[in-house]
Amino acid sequence: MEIAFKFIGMTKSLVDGKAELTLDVPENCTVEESLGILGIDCRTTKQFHFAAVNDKKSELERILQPGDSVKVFPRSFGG
Amino acid sequence: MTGKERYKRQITFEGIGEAGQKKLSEARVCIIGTGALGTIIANSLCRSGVGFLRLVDRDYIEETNLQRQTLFTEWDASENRPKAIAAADHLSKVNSEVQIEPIVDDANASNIERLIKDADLILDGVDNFETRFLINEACHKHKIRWIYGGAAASGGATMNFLQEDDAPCFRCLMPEMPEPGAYPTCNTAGVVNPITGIIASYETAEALKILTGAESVSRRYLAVDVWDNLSEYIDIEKNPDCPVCAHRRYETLDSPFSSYAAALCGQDSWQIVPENRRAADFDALSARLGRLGEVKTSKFLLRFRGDGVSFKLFPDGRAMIDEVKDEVAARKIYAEYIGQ
Ligand SMILES: [Zn+2]
Repeated sequence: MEIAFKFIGMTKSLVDGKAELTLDVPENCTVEESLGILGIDCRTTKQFHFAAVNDKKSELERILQPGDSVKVFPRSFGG
Repeated sequence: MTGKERYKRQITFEGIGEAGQKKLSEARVCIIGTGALGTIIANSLCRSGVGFLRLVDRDYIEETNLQRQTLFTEWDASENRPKAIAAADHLSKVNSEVQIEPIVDDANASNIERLIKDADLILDGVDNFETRFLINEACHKHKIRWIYGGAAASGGATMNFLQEDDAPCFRCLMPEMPEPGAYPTCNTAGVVNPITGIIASYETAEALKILTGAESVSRRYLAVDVWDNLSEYIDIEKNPDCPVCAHRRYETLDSPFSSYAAALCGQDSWQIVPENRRAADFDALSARLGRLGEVKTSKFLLRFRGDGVSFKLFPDGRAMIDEVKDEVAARKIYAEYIGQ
């Protein structure tokens, strides 16, 4: 199934600077697995803060459904 | 110059009015961190007539701050004036009706409750997650509302934490504190000033809404990126197993305070905070250090430079050690040059 991804700010660097892309992922794929397909390890990547599914912060274990949109957010640290 | 004329434009705005202005004049706000975000927030809240502002910052002004930290001048940077003092000096000339209390100190587990307890609202202008975890826990413990804000490169984010029963806390948003060094820094990512201006202005708008009791106070996470033309509102849910807001476990706040060191964002320097804070004797140190290098002192700071070693010492014993690669090197210089 096709899932739309949007990478916010510094997280673009995780996908060669692409702000938006769509990806064909297998059935029962989790948020974490889908990002893994893109080469992103959510647990160790510095730039990764959280992923939102349909504009709601999501558990990494959430299973994606057709039509879901995933947005990936960086940590906003500076002051 | 007093009262009504000054605030005419914002009293005319129906969201604030006479009643809202009165609430602002009675409000007590604590801004932790007076860098890029904090100076803009302090400037706006001072001009808006918030009655009391406490400005807390551990740092001194450097030339690299001037690009985005709006209350400071070249003279402040050349004198390495403490940020909290310089901000308060400037703002006292802007609005003498506002009571401003500058505090030159590191917000940490030993003092955070004292800093926030008597305030109606806390605004985040800090540059690290350790302090935000601490603010979150102290504010939850004392049921004080606070506003998170962070910015880097061309992006930033902000969210209100209102201490409502079913609302998330910062720990729900960020369950694990990233190790220092496990996230990019201002040194490596840089920052452009429209994003600090925008995030600080969102924080200010939310502060005005919270303090005047507006119904439109935001309960969502807002992320903005000015280079990518985006702003995104995201819903964050309360974590039913959150150590802070579900179990009232204040791990950062309750960890025993001891001497500690912290890397400073945006600078190649380390801060050393000694366990026993006592007044540094600038006269005695100047005499001793004068034999080893160049010493300059002011009421706020002792600066030393010589033989590859450079540091600034505050009257309370805190020091910023420049150009050191790690904590061990910073502590070694502290022990050898400052003592204890
Ligand atoms: Zn929580």
